[in-house]
Amino acid sequence: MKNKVLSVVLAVVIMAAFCGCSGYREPDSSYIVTALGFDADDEITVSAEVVTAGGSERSNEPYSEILTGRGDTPEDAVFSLNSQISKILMFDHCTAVIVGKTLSQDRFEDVIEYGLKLKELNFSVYMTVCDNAADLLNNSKSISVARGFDIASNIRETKKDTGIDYENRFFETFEAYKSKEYYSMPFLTLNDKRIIIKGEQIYKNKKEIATLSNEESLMYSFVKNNNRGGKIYLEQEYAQVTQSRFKMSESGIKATLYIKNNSKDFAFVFKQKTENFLSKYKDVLNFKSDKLELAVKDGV
Amino acid sequence: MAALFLFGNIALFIPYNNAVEGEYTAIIIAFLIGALVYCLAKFGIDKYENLKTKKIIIYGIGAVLIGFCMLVSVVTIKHFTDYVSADVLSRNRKIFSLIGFGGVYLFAANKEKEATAKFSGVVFVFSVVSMLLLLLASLGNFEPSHLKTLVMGDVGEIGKRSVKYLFYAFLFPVVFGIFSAFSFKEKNTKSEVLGLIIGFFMLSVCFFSATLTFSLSEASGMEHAYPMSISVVSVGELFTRMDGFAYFIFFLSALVKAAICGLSIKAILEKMNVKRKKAILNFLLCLSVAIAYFI
Repeated sequence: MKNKVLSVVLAVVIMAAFCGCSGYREPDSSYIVTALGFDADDEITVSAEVVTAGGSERSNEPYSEILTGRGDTPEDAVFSLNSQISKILMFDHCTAVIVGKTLSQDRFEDVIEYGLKLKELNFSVYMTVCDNAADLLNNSKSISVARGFDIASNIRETKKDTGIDYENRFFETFEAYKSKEYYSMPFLTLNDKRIIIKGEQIYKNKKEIATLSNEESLMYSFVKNNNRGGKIYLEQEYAQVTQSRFKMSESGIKATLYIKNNSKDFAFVFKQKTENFLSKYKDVLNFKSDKLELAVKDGV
Repeated sequence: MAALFLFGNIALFIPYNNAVEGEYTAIIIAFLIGALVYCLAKFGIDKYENLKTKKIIIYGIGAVLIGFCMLVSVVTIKHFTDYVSADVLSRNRKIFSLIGFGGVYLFAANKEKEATAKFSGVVFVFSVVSMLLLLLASLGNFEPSHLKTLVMGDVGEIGKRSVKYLFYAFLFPVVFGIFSAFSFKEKNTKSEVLGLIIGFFMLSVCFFSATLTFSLSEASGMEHAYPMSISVVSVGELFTRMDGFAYFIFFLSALVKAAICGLSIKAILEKMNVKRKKAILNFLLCLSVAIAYFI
């Protein structure tokens, strides 16, 4: 009997240790940050999209708003934002960080360092770029509960549909920023108040070198062997690409595409578009050649 | 139990925080030294177990061995509760996580070794299976080029920082040797060695998971890289941020390791044939928890 009681006590202690409910707050006493935007002029401006949960009344739906703070560093800007509000900011659900083009690369490094310091910020948060983060957030409407979730959803859907992997999760971006020659982030814009992906911003040695359109971004993903496969639409032509292999050398690029459910002239249009892309960006993105030899095989 | 004892609190720090060149070489050397010390410790403690001599000698040796066991339990409790208060329950005071863990530790150390063994069996299976599944789910995040940054360093580059690994290489095998020698009537060296190999494999999974995800230089700049690497794993859209599994595995393995220390102290007290064994045992266990808080 004594053992049973002790076992029950132990089970309760262990359960209490895992549920993490200590330090809880009522939903309406916190601001859940879903997106963070950073711009710069003399100071850094942080724009935080926050969602407030409805609280105990069922009629109160969650809603989002944009809060702003300014400071010399990202940390100071967030601190200034914090000092204006009575609720606590929770960064655990932040899904997107939007960097405005006004932010220089030195300041961008400050944003990365701040992200590393902020323990609540998950390393899976998506890094994106736009002209002005504050304008983007303030002038847009969300499709789901929050713009941050919309951005994350856009990026995931793009990957699923077209196979483009931007490799822009926080840990991928900071690793590329610190140790690789090239890194990139999806470029966001507004279309009828909805946030959409307009293309891809490419950086070399921490400097902006090109802004690709969505179609160019698709070609780029194939050329750097980073496309995961998906439904590709080019002008009137289409195909389901299951796999691709691009091998670059001085004499040319040998590519093999595994496709199915394709339209008649897909391969021709794909080759043409890729060669145009290679020719346009050969010097900027340092391609060894702009000549493409394309083989098409049946995909599984 | 051997696997979980080896995995215990060591896994919290893999890859080692701001490791310098030579430190990984020191760690490998420490494991090799540890294997040798373990063999010697088992032999020596077997002799102690059967020793019939003056009480003062038995008490003296016993006190030293108890000291080792307490040191390992203090280190384990401290590392785990520091980790919990830094990463898991950061809004709460450390004392609450210490009391919680301490309570469970006292309970486990007062149980019979068979109960701890059965519990460890369940924990072991859960931990190994979870780690393998998480490793599979992490494959998409791995960048093979990150392994190129792994530079072992020459033996000559083993610096002052590496002394602690050599100290643990002595301490941990001795304590596990005590437990192994005293605990089970039937000696099963093969399964102990297999357990230690599996424990080393589990540590390697932590190391490679973090290194292949973040690169060694970034991973060693993080306080606890393995849970971070698990936090970026997602399976579909529903299963994301699975670092909770890492927390759970760390908790269970730290608990088993601390319980082994407690059971070893119990076994030595029985050998010493002291009066009021239970009271002294609980006093020493509470003292370990208190020391873990104050250091």
